[in-house]
Amino acid sequence: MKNDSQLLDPGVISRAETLGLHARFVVEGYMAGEHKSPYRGFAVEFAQHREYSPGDDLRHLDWKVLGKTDRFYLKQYEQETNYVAHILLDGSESMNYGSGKITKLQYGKIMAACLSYLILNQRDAVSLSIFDQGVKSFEPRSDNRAVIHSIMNRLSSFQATSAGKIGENLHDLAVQTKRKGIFIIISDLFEDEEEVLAGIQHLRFCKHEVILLHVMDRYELEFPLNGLIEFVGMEQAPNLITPAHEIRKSYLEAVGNFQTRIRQGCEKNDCHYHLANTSHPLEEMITNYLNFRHRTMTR
Amino acid sequence: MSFLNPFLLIGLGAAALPVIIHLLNRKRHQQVRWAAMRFLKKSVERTRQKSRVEDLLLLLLRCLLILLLCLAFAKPAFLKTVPLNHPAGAGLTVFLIDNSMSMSFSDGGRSLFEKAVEAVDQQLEKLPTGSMASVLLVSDFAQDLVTEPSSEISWVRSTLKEARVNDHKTSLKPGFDRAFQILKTHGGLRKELVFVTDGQAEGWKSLDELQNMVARETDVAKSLVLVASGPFNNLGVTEVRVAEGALVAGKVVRVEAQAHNFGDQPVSNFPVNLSGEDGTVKDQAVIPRLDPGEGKFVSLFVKVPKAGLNRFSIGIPNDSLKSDNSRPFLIFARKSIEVLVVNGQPGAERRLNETFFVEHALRPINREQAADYFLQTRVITTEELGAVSLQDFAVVILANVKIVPEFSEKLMDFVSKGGGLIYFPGSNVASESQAGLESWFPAQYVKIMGDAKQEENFFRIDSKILTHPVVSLWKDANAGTLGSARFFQAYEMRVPKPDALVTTNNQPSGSNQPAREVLLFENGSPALAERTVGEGKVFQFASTADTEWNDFPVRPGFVPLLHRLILATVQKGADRHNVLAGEEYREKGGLQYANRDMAVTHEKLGKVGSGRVELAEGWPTLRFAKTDAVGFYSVSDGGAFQTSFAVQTVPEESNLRMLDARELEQIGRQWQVTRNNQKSFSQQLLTNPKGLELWPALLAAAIAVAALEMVLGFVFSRPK
Repeated sequence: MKNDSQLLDPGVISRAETLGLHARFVVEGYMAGEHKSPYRGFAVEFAQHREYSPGDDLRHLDWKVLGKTDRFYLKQYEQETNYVAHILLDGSESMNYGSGKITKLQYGKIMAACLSYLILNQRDAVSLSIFDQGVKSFEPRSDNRAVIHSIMNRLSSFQATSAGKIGENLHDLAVQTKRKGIFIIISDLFEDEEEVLAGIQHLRFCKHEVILLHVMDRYELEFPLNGLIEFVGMEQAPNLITPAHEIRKSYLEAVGNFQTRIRQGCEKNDCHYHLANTSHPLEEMITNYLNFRHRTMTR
Repeated sequence: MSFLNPFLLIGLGAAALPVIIHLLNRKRHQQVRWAAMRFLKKSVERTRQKSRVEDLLLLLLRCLLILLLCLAFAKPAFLKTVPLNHPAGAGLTVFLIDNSMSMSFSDGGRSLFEKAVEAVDQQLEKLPTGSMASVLLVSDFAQDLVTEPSSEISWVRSTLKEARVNDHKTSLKPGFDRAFQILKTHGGLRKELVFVTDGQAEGWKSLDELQNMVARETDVAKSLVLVASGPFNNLGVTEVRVAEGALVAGKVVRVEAQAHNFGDQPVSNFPVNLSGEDGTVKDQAVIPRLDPGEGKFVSLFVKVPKAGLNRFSIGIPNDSLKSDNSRPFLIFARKSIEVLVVNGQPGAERRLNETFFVEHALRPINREQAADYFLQTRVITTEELGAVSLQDFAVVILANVKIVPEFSEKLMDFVSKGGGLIYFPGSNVASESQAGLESWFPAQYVKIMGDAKQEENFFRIDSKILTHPVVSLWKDANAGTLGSARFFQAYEMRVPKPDALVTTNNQPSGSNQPAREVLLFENGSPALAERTVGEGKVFQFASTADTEWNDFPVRPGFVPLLHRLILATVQKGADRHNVLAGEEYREKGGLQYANRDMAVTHEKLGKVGSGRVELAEGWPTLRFAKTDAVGFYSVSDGGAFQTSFAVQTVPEESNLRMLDARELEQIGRQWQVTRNNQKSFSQQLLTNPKGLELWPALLAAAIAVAALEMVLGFVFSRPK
């Protein structure tokens, strides 16, 4: 298990920091009241000046400095926390699978840590729940940056041991969470997708934004196995001996159908679905997603 | 069905290999921890049923492929014969080697028989361990070389060196009988008969009979190995006979010798020599041309030097088959020929005697010379017959003598022991009086034809039908004719057909030989008939010996005919000293020699055996059957008893025509026919067994199954 420092990937942080994770919908900020846009109406705190360059928004021009020095400077602000991001990490046993050096759970943990850091760094609040049958580890919401240590402690100390029930957990969280926020679900979703989608729908019904980061191993996506293989089931699934190459097509078809159903369910519920292939570098995955998110928000 | 490589059938067990590999592979698998089991389960459930069927199909195809390959390599075949040296295991092999005279053919190197022995020796050497072998020789009889099948193959091979060729003719039946008898007595083994021969067509004359005989032995594999590949040319002396002349010491006889060309090329200007006992050529004739398949007689003259048995031989230049290039023969010469003439109707005057013309015919010389003449005649009447011992005479002539039953028996005994009888009918002889004679007389008198008192009505002898050797002289028009004689009265004679012969208890041995018509009247009725009875001969006329019923006695042909008849009967008596190879030699001896063993010595081979004088037909008779080699044999008891005989080749054995393609094809239905002239015949037997081989079809099927397996394997292994 990675220790605290290992969970925070410097590459990920440095590349994702500038993008930030922002709420797409109106979220209930506990410091600045309701605002349609997080850039207008939320309390901001001056951070620094920078020289004007053509194309910059003139609203942020520091007129006082212009009057005194006849120079064009823009005021830059540090945004205050205005939403709560609930990071839900699937801690079921199936997340322990990994064909390469890293398991899905490790990948998810790093992802959760990095996102927590980013969110805390932009002064938003974060809560962390690691669950399988139920919530096994919980970090209450906080916008204090120091809570990142607690989050990483929880992540690093967690061991996946039993099957998971994402659907039920989502329903419980939807009921328990009163304030609107962002739910970031990190899971392989290896259970009844209808239950999962029902949970997402429940969250969306409660006006939460839901981001689904679907963690899958490359082998699970491509199934490059050959020969007669005994598959040792996780989560108490019985073992299975079969010629792998013979069922590849059928397996990929089943996985493809599964992904399609989840994706379509997410689209239906206006939920961001993003596939996280553990063979791809994490920073690439998060950057891609935040880029995608940034584009969809600025349109 | 049998397998040419049966040991490869062991490979059939390999059909279990795919199953074993399949089972082993099920145990040898990789273990992988897997999270997405739900998708796997779905896929496996979807493909399991189909995969099982496909796996089973592939498994079956692979097993079938191995089975087909093993079967193909084992070379299954529906064989009429199982190849020699078949590795299916040890069995009993009877080797039958043809040792007839034709096998002594040699083209300058080894004889065919030596090649045959060598071929068998090679096969014996190659027999699988534990095999048993027996070796027989066959000519016209079966000779056991290794009677009891033995597994001591080295001993059998050494015994093979004792095999000798003989001068017998080929008659395969006894050999086959003996071989199958040996094979039958040793049940439970794989049985094989290998017949090594030159393929002389003469030996397979009764091809259908032999084939039927062989076909009955269904459990015996039969291989026919031909050591010769004709055609061969051969010139042989096939017959020698005394044609003319008195067989009396000091007299010249005319000998007729036949040379036969059995080749397919004409032969020109070759000499035929008549040699005496010392080897000197006494007479020579040259045959200007002898076409293929043609036989020609030449006449040779020789003076018989002494009384008793005189050795001569007819020789032609040597060729590749030497045995028939010289034909030995013996002429038995008497000091004189004693003829007893029985006058059945004495006349008032001598000229009126029934035998008047016969007496003159038998003594055609001056009275002063009569004592030295070779025919010594004694004339008696019927009444004097009882007092005469017939054994003192060589020939008896009965003229108008009624044969009473008691005399009939005496006469038959005389004839059957080698005497000659010439019978003329007459007024004393009625057709009824012939009762009891029908079992040994040539013909029956049926009724009188014509009337002696009406001389204007006569009939003649048909001078065109002269097939009998006795009258063949008159074929030559220069020799006169027998057709000039007029017959006013004669008996109509009926010569019984061979199948109508009556067998009676007192019938002498040999009397059942068919009678022959010697001369015929123009109306087709026999004028003279002949029959061999035991060792002797009977000639029976249809008309009288005097001029009462005909004028034949005053015709020129009467004297030579009578002389020829006497010589023919006497010659018959000497013929017993000339036997064909394989025939038994019989010689009557005196009572004092009964139960005595006689040493038999061949002129070149030395002592070849012994013969025992035993009672045969009431007379002590020496019998010697081992007449294997051509040449002169001497018989002696070490004392007074001495005789000799000549063994001659069987004429048909000189015919070296080999089996033609049609005959071989017919033989091939029962035998596996091979030749050992090019490569070793065992190799041929292994590489070219007779029958329908199935391995090409099996191999094709295996290839088809392999292709199907590959295609299906490729299709089935595609991801589902």
